Amino acid sequence: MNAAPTSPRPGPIVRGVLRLYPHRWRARYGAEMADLVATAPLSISLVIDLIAGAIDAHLQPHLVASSMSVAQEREGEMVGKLMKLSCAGYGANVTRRDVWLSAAVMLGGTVVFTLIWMRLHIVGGDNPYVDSFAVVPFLAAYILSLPFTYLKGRRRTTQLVFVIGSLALVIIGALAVGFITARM
Amino acid sequence: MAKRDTQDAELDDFGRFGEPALLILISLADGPKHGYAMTDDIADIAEVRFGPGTLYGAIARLESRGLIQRLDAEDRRNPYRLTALGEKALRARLASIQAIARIGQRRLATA
Repeated sequence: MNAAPTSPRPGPIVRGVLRLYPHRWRARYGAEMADLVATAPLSISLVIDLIAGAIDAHLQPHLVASSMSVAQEREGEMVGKLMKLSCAGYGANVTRRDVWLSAAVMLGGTVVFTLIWMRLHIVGGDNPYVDSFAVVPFLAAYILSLPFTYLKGRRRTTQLVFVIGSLALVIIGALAVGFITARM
Repeated sequence: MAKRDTQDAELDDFGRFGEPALLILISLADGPKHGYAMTDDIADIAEVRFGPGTLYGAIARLESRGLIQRLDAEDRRNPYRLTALGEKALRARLASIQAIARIGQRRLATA
C-alpha cells in the first residue's frame, strides 16, 4: 500500500465545507476525507467537489446506513443490526420517495424563495436588509426538507420546533447581518 | 449487441459515480488501499484525480452494495478491499468493456 504523507489539518474554508456533510457521513468518512483534503491544495474545484458531495450525501442518506449494515452483516452482528435499524430515526426508514420529496422541497423552495427575494430586491432597491437575505432561500428550503430525511420518524412537535426554531435563527442571523451592514 | 452479465449491472445506476466506482474497483484489484493511495493510483492508471467528494461518494455506493469492504484503521486512514462480489462485478464490467471495444475496433477496421 502506498505510504501517505502525514497530513496537516485542513484549512478553515475546507473544514466549514466538510461540516455541510450529514452527521452520519462525517462519522464514517469525515476523518478520512479531512486527511485527503488536507494534502490537496485549496482550489475552487475542490470546494465545488466537496459541496456537490455534501448535497449528494444529503440526497442519498441511505448510503451510509446501508454501508454500515453490510459491514455488520459480514461480522455476523445480525441482532445488533436489527436493533439499529428499528431504532434509527434517520437513514434506515427513509425511502427513495422521501429522498425525492426532500429534493423537490429543497429545489422548489429555493426557486420560490429566490423569486420572492428578487422581487423584494426590485421593490426595495439597494437595501442592506434585503441583501442580507441572499443566502436565506437555500437555507430555508433545506430546513423545510428535513422532515423527509433527518427528522423523519420524530414526533410532529419535535419536527415543528426544529423547523420553526431553525428558520427563526436563520432569519435573526440575516437581520443581524443586515443591521451590521447598514451601520457600516 | 454484447450480452450483459447480471454482475455487470451492479455498477449500472451509479450515475456520475460510475466511472470513479469502476476505477476504484480496478485500483483495489491488486490489494487494499486507503483513500489517499487510491487517488494516487487512479491518477497513475487513468490520469484523472478525483476530488474527495467524488471519491467518497463512489466509495459509499460501492460499500453499500457490498462490492468493497472497509478494513480496520491504520492511524486515521481506513483501507478498503475488494469483496468477492466486487471482484465478480469488476470482471463482468471489464469483460463487457472489452467486448464493446472489440466490436468498435472491428467496425473501424472494416470502415
